[in-house]
Amino acid sequence: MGKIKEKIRKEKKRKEREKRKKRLYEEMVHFIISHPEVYILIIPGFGIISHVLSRFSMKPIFGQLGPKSLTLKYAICGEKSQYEITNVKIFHILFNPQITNAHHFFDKFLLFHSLRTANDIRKLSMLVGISEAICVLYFFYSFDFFYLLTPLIKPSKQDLQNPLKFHQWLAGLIDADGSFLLTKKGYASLEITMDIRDKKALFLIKQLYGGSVKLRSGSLSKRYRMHHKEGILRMIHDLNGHIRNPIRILQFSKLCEKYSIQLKYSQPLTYYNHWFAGFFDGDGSIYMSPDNIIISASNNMKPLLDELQLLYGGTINITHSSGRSFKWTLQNKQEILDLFNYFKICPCYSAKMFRILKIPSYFELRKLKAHSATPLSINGQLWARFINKWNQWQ
Amino acid sequence: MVYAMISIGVLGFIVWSHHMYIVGLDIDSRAYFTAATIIIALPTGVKIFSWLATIYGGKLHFYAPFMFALGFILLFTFGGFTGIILANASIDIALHDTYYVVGHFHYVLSLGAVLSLFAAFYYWIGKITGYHYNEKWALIHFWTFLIAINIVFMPMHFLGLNGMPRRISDYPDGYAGWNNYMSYGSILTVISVFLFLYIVSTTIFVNKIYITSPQSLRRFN
Repeated sequence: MGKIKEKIRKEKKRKEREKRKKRLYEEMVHFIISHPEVYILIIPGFGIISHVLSRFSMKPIFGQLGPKSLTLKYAICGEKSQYEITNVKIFHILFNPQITNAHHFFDKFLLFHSLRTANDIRKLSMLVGISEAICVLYFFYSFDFFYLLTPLIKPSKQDLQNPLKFHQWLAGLIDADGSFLLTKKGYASLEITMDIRDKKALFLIKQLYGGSVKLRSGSLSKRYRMHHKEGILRMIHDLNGHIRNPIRILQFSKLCEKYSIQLKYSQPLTYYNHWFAGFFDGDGSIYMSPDNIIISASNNMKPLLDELQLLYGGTINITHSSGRSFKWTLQNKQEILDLFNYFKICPCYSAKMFRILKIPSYFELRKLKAHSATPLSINGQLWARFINKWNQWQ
Repeated sequence: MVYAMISIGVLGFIVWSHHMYIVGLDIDSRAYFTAATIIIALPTGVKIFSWLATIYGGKLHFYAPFMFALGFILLFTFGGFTGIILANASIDIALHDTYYVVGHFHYVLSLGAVLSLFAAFYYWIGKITGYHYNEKWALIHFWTFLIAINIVFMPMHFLGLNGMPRRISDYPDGYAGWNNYMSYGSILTVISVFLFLYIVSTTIFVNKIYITSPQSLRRFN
């Protein structure tokens, strides 16, 4: 009996041990596999968050190695390669665009030379993603190097802070659409009238010089008007030497006389002068003929258009029957594309820019013969969509 | 950042016993697992602070994906903090198998993962379908969702500290108050999910906003 009891007890113990073993294996499964799982599950989330945060903060992610080491490299080699590197593309390739839109960040860095004059806190804090020692090096080594590259950069709002460019543009706009007035009582004023869809440009001027923008009765246009002395004086100082239209110079000289300021005459027009962008904002137009895009500008002062023809090509025709108005037109594809590159550097601020930006896609679609495709084919649909967008600006 | 992520992945494999502090482990292994679990907080902290440094000084665009990412940081930090509390074997004796744990891991994983998934959805849906979501509704969805989930999961901490057990379908009447709030919160969560479905359907089927339209391209400046 004793032996049997012993056997039963042993059997019981064995079973218990087996049960315990089973539990142990179960725990192994749970805690070797499914516990790390919760950490692994969150890692893609980390990646997404890193991506989104850096995208909408316009900065590369902090602590990422790439930009840092690259910065170091440039900081150290900067002096040597200062005059060798002229291609801005290098940055786009070397920075890892897969992880962030690092070039956004870098575009801002390229404009860093403006820190010499304006100590902008926002720009300074863009340096946060970079270690402090390198920040200091960056300041010492980067200025001249980046200054060389500035003409290659896409223009941005910061360019407006470059006064010369803006003054050139404004002079162009006033040559086309504005007028200076001096009443007999001696009140000076400036008026610029533009279509209602270009009101953005007018508000831009208003922001800088004061004055008012009001709707004109009877037509869909807005008029900017400025007649306080301070603004007029500032404008005379800013625009002196940029105005080219003979009529406008005549009006301008009267104001100069009144305030006894020396009138300066303009230098010959250069290719990348913002004056043309302003002139195009006022008097230019861009439209589509059945087989081409036509860029044109009409004015009754032929010398102005002659200058444009000399620089940008195109032809000049008489439009008005009495011979009082002239039209400069551009139809050659290469010339139009060249002009597109010009506008990339010297942007318009009116709604015309919207169409100008569509020029390359127009030529692309023409190349695909999308304009003659049947409406239901893919090319035809693309064309229809393009036309729709082209007409949207009005 | 990358090393932080790698070390989280690696450390995740050597902390499994923090789920079973009270099964009778000896004191040394409990000390080890406590230490190992708390150490995970370091790379996680590195990540959180790196994200904050990314935001700091940036040109912020408060679009829906970004809002979801910010919500993720908030809730993930909160959940990670309760995680450090639970990592201590001595405190875990009181909190084991209570709703405190449930609140903790929902904050970290459910909300963390789900918020990042929503961020990813709003970020990439334009790329995937070619149409943009409705920004206004997306923000409404974000706020509804954020408030709703906090109503659901925040009271779990209070219940857990009071000792409400996990994995039991019923509870004493004393816990009814907070459970009531949680029920309302879950109803609100359902509403926000329907809002999300509405956004998905409008994005894809109705009121198509092309991603190439100037209105949607504005965000890339």
